[in-house]
Amino acid sequence: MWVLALAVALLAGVCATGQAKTLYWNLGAEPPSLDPSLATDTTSHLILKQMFISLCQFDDATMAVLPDLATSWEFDAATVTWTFHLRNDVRWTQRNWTPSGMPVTAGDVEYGIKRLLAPETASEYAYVLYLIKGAEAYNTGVGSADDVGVKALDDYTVAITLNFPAGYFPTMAALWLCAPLPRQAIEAYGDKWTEPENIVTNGPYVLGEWVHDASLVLVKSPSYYDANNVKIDEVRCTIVVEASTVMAMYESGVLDVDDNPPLEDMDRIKSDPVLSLELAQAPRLCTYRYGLNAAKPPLDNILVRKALASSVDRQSLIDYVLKGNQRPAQTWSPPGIFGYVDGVSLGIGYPYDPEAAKQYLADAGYPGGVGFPEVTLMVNTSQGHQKIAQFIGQGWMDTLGIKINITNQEWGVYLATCSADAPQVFRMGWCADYPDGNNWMNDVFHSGSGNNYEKYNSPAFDALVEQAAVETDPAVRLDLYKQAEILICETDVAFIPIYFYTYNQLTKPYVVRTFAAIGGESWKNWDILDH
Amino acid sequence: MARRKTQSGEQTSDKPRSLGRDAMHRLLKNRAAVAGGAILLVIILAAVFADFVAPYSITEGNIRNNYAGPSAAHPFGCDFMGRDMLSRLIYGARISLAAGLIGALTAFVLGVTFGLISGFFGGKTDNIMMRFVDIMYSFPTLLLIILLMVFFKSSFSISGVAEGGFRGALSNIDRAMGGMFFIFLGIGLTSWLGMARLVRGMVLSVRGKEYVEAARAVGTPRSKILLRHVLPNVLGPAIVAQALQIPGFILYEAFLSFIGLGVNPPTPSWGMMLSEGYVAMRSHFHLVLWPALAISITLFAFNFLGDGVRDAFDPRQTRR
Amino acid sequence: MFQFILRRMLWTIPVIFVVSALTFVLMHSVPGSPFTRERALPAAIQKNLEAKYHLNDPLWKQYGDYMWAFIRLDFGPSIAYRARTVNEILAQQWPVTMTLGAVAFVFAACIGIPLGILSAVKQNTLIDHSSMVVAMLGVSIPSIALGPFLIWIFALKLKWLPVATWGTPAHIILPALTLSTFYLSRFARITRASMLQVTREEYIVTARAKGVRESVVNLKHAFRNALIPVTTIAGPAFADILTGSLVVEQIFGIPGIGKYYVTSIANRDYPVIMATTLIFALLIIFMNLLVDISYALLDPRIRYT
Repeated sequence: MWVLALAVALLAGVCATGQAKTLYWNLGAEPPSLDPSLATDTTSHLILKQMFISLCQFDDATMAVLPDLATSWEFDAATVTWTFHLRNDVRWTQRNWTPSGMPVTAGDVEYGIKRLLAPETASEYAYVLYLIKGAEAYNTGVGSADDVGVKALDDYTVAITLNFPAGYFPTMAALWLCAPLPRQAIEAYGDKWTEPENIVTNGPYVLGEWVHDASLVLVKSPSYYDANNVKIDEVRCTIVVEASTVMAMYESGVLDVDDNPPLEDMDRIKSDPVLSLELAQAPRLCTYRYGLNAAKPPLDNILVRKALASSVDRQSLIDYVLKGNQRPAQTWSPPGIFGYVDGVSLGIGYPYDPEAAKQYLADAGYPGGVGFPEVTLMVNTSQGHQKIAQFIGQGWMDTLGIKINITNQEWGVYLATCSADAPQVFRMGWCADYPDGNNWMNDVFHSGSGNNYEKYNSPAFDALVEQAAVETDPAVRLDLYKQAEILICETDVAFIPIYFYTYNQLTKPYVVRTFAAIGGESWKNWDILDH
Repeated sequence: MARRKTQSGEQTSDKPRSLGRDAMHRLLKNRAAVAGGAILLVIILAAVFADFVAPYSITEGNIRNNYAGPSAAHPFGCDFMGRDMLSRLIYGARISLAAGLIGALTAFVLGVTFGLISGFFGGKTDNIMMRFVDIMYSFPTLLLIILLMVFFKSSFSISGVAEGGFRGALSNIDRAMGGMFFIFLGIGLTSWLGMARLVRGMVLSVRGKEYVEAARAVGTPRSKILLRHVLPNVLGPAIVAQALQIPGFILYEAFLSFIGLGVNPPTPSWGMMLSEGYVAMRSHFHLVLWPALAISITLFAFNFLGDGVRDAFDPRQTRR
Repeated sequence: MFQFILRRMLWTIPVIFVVSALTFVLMHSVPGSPFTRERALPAAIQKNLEAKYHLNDPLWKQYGDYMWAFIRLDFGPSIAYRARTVNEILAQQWPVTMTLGAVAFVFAACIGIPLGILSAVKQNTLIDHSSMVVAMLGVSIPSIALGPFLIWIFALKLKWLPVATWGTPAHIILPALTLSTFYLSRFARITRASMLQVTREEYIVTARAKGVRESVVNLKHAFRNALIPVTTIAGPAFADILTGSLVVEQIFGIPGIGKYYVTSIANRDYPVIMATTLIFALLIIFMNLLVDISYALLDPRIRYT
């Protein structure tokens, strides 16, 4: 019955345009969960972005915050409250496809946020919303849901009260975290509400079919409020993990986009007449770093850390190993994040300077590396990380004359090791949850943060980022973040930033597409030409 | 001993030829086995004398040469870090051969000991021990080895902290060997079952023989019977049987390195090189070609030699 | 015979217990809980999650609870994939692996055994030598090298077959072929050796002397007896093919249980690990039983008490 309705809808679409437009995509992993409160990985977020809308959305190119479910919003300084006014023409879509289905209301937004914060849900991203009044208390089990500062004033107005005026809150409203959720479906089906036969969504696409570990199909939703502008009717996703296999599938024409071509193929792609035109590189809001455990000798000596930081040849790493036109990083927040400083041009941090590195090491008491104890460099088990480790580790050995032991541990063990007793040098990365320096400086390196594997503890740094969190004047905030960057990267050398990620994607010429700097792609804005 | 002439005029001696010499004679006539043995010898020599044979060290490389194809300076090309493939292959032979040999040795020692005790003491001991083997046989080997390797790599953490005692000692050994110790241990711990069964079977048959009965009758202590009468007769076929397993161990190590549970970089093992080159296969084929060839040729040679040895020791000829 | 089968089936019970206990202990000895994440969870939340999955109970209790549920065929929830139970995951992915394994086994047996017979019958001819060289290659080239090579030739260059994933019969060919080469070659070699041995037995000579046709000699007398050593390795062959699917499924992107196993260890998805290992073990026991039964069928001299 449902399949019939789907077929009819598709057929209608086909008759209207003359041809069903299908996008063939590959997901690099099986999405662990399509529940917006629980999803933590990029694959799940990509699919969720197509199925659920949130209060706001990001402009793909500029990352400005645009209206989505909310048409407008304003801030009241007196009550420290953001009030969002919602559209009244958004409907929940269910399997039996009643077009005049239930409206999406402010009550659903309130329900969605509170469910995210509920301790039983055990969402990993709840901490991001701790700036909402009463959120932390509720999430850690000491407060109640009623005290959380989210209120549906009427069906189409929601008020969110914060602990402090955060100018960046609209960027968080654009995240899936503030998305309305379908209460009825969740309460009826429990953990299984995300299965295709149960799921209720409100976005440009609905979940048509999901064969776990094999394939996933998204179908255009006729009841999406902006359905007229959605051009692609269907997205068929395969689920293949092996990157070289995916590349082969792209080359044989089975896939329209390869969003993760192996870096080993980069040379061939760039010199191939066809593929080189299909390659696009765009910045990505992620940074790769080598964390330093300053509690472990010999890294407790800041001169040693400076020596290590100064002998990483980032440009060669990018040119010869990564091959993806990444950008060298001497500071932490990547370009595109509010609070980014161009460390390379401004001279913040430690550029590649082998002579200076040798001098630092000599000053530390180990001229030429003599007497320097062996240092462990640990990464999690992956070919890519091991190659980078080999390059950098070898660089240290050659430049400084020291001995590096490169080892790896499988991911789960690795995180446990880094939390409990991190090795001297360990690899970590971070991708933006929302495009603000608070997510980078405060959420990661505050002394109380669980993401602070270096166990960096600087009262001065904490003060800077705490002040920047509540500050409303953007100019002041920028300056505070700049000071924080200088402090942590240059003065204290808590870690060594290596590079800012880029997206390298191969796209067939008949796909008209956008590139999302944060979060997943917006397939509703794409188009497929006749081919 | 006098030499006599037989009727056909051939010269023979009536000095009895031992099984070993007979076998050797047959082996040498088997051309494929000889070829295999020769290839293996070359590989083993190259591995042992790697420091002299290899043109470069395993870490020496210029990143600007990365992925370079074959050239005069680098006949097999360079890997992703600009290191010479030929040198890494030669050093890699050490790992693969060591994995094969030491893994085989570990399995051999465990299996023979187990089988000897079980077969010799018989009765209830035998029953229990063999039941244990039967149970372990049902454990999917690959899964067990993966679990073991994850366990080893995580428990014997190598985070640069000096640990005392047993764990520290093991970690240090492992680090000194470039991460190979636990692989050998893992392979050995999961592969001794077949040997145990085989040895037990042989011990059972030898036990019934007259010379053992005689020794018992005379009052020889059991341990002496075990060591002097039973063991030598069992050892020969056991060694041959185990040698035939070596190719499998080399494959195991390659597989483990491939999925990331193997040696630590920059130690080159053929499996690790395959894994590194695998992703680049379509763009830089030589990264995969040489390690794949190396593994295949080594296994090829081992198999031919192994077949030859087995046929040589088997008095019933299968060739006319 | 019946008694024999019965005893073997009873025997599986202690085996399952030992295998499960060993897996359980190993699993829980590896540090890292299923809830260790890059973005650290607040301690209270992590405790809640662990309580929900009974991970804070003493180990013996967890083990007992698990085995009790296992016997009733309830394999528990998946920790990594909250919306799915292990039963559902297995139900979806086991058939894929079994199909792949079965097809690979069929390839190995139906190509390997006749190849061996042919080589034996035409001993020392070109056919014999070339088949044996091919067989040698088969046991020497690892699947991690062979798989991508086959993809390159048959899928990319010749475009005869699809590159990867699963769905149509065409998708099964390359992965099954990769998986089967090792045992195909072993079957060929053992069949050949065994046939050669059997054809020297006296009953064959007698049959020939009686004037029985050569083809009948080969099929009815030689082959049946030659199969016995071949059957010996059929059991381990199937077990190895099943576990070998781990790598092949990864290379070809096949949604089977093999590929899933390594991921579930990484995710510390305990219920999945336990269930998969135990089912593998059960399958191996079952295959060994089949092999023993076929011994009795093939060789009338073998009688089980």
